[in-house]
Amino acid sequence: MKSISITGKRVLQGLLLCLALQACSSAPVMVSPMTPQRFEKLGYAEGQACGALGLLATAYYAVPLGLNSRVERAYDAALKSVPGATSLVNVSVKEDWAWALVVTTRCTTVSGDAIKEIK
Amino acid sequence: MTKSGIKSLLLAAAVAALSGCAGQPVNFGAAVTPEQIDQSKGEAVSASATGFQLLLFIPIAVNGRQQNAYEELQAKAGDRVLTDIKITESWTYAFVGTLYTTKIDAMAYPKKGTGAAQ
Repeated sequence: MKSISITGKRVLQGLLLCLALQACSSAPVMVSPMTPQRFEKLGYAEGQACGALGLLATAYYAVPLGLNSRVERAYDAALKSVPGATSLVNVSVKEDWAWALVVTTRCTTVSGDAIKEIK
Repeated sequence: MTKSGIKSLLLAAAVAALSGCAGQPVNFGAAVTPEQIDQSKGEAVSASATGFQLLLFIPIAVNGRQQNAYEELQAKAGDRVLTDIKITESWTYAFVGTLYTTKIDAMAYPKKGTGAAQ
């Protein structure tokens, strides 16, 4: 029983290693596009999105939980925080992280001035 | 026994309290409109910075990696204006920790005299 559990643990670690060797990446997220020629400032906008990497212990930290999409979701949240906004200018991006025992969470905050393009 | 227990508890509390960090906000500069720049001379520029999160909660160059990447991008752009800024976040499993990389892509344009933003 003891030898089986050790073998099982090794198999699991190997599987996780294989899975994680690919690493993970978000898609490029446009956070500060070219400002349109004519626009109207609507006000301050801010959006935050979090993700986590787990699980259990460092050796198993290969499971992304919403981690890769956090920048995109934060930008979308910032746009939605101001009704009618089509883009952001004067953009700032910030990341915070916290250890939560079995996972590490990372939160991205996108803020800026919301604008509406005038066509 | 009691002193040892208290020490362990204090250490655990310190670790827990410190196991979270706020990163440095990175500001991508003022609004840039097409009439302010020479769009015929744009160049794609890119920069990245990596940090390592050792074990579960020891940050090594993790919190400042976005700022580092942007500073590298600004150095590459020189006097030119940066716009169309894209961020790509990635991570790599490293057994005793995790590598986090921020890559910033942008277009660098030379300024075209002076112009109003709006």
